Amino acid sequence: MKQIANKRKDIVFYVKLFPLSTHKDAYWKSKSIICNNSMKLLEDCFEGKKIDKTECETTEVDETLKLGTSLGIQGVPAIILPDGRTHMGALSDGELLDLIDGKK
Amino acid sequence: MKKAIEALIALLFLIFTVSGSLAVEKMNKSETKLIDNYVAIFDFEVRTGDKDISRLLADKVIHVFSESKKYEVIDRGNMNKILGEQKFQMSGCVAQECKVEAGQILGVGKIVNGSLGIIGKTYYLTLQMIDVKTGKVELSAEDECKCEIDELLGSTRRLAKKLLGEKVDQPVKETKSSEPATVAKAKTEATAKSKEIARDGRFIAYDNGTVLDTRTNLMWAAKDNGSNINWVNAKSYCENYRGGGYTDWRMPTKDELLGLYDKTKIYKACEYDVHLTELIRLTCNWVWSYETRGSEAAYFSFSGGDGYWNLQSSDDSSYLRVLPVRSGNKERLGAEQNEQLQEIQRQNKKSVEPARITVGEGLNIGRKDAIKKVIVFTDPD
Repeated sequence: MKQIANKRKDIVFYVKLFPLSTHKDAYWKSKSIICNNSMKLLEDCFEGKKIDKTECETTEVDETLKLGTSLGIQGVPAIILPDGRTHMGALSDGELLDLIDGKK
Repeated sequence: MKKAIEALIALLFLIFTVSGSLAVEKMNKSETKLIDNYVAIFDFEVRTGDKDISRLLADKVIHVFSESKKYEVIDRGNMNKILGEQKFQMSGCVAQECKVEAGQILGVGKIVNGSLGIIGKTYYLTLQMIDVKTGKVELSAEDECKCEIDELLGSTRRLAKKLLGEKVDQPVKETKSSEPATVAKAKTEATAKSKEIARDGRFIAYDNGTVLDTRTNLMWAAKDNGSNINWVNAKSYCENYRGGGYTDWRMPTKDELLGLYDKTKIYKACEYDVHLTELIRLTCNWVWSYETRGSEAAYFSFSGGDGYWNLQSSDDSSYLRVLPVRSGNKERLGAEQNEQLQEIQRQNKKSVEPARITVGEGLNIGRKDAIKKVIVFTDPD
């Protein structure tokens, strides 16, 4: 996503944390990332690094869970495209760009 | 007993050796070569609620110092890099001694330290130049501003000029009955060499490819460079631009670009709305500005009226353009034009501080004003 955003100034990605109930640490990790507003922490999680637990007043994760559920999202990654289409599952940069540009 | 004496001698030797090496280290630090005409300008210490303005005010001082050419200003990127390499923490470094120490590490001859406070409705700005070798305040200037927060930029500019010993133009109140002399001069200069071809409110277009803004007295190229361009090439494009036969074209500052932004005007360029007089034609809505921050440079969006940061070396797919500008009377903005520019900015009611690019800093990746918004749901575990 970073590479795409660096190349294409007309594209912005909004990352929403949607902790799956099957992942026992996902909820507190999501909250900690939101509390710190830190993409770095999310990247650390993806790399399997340990992150510290941070507590703060936020309902953002709960709201994302509600939003995702209302959109029928059951797994991640789930992508909502600029034209409103949804795509479930990981993609290569090229495939993602084709979808964003409406070529697919 | 003999062994005890030997052990004592060994201990004393060790103590002397260690203290000796510490002294050498200390001496080396104090003997770091400082370059007199190099200056490091730190973010302002802000004692009001608007902490975000701290960097913006420092940027203004950096701009004035760079313009004056009296000092070489260390850019923020290099500053952070050098201090980072020495594991020096700037966060929490508020005391003068701490900043002097930072100056020593940076090898600069002077540091500039600013502060902003507020009493009642009046802002108080101070700016000090400190000699890094002696740690003493060499020069100091202060200014009061009973004003809105966005007017502090003008005040900071005056303060920086004062510190540099340059002539400070006092704000001149605009009289509506007569045209400012500098505008008249610029008009004369433009009309003497070319013919007026169109007017749009305060803008006059001439047949030599220039457009005069009669409110700010800035002369603009009637069109941008026409294709994707990185910051370095953009700067060079402006400096080599010879529109209307003039040779003093330069890159605009973000304040100047903001002064052009007009929400009531609109045309399309590269599929985006551009809020700008039609007399100045952009081929895309993003325009580079003069300000830099390490490896990044600021640019301005004529769609949203906001500033952003991007890599100076941004590749050709970045849709960025450049629009050369020159001061009509061969001088940089004087107080009179500055006042007018500030008035336009007040009307726009927009912050001139470029928003930080969110890549790696928040949970958005990309520019906030990007037209194609993609939402990605993900799980950190």
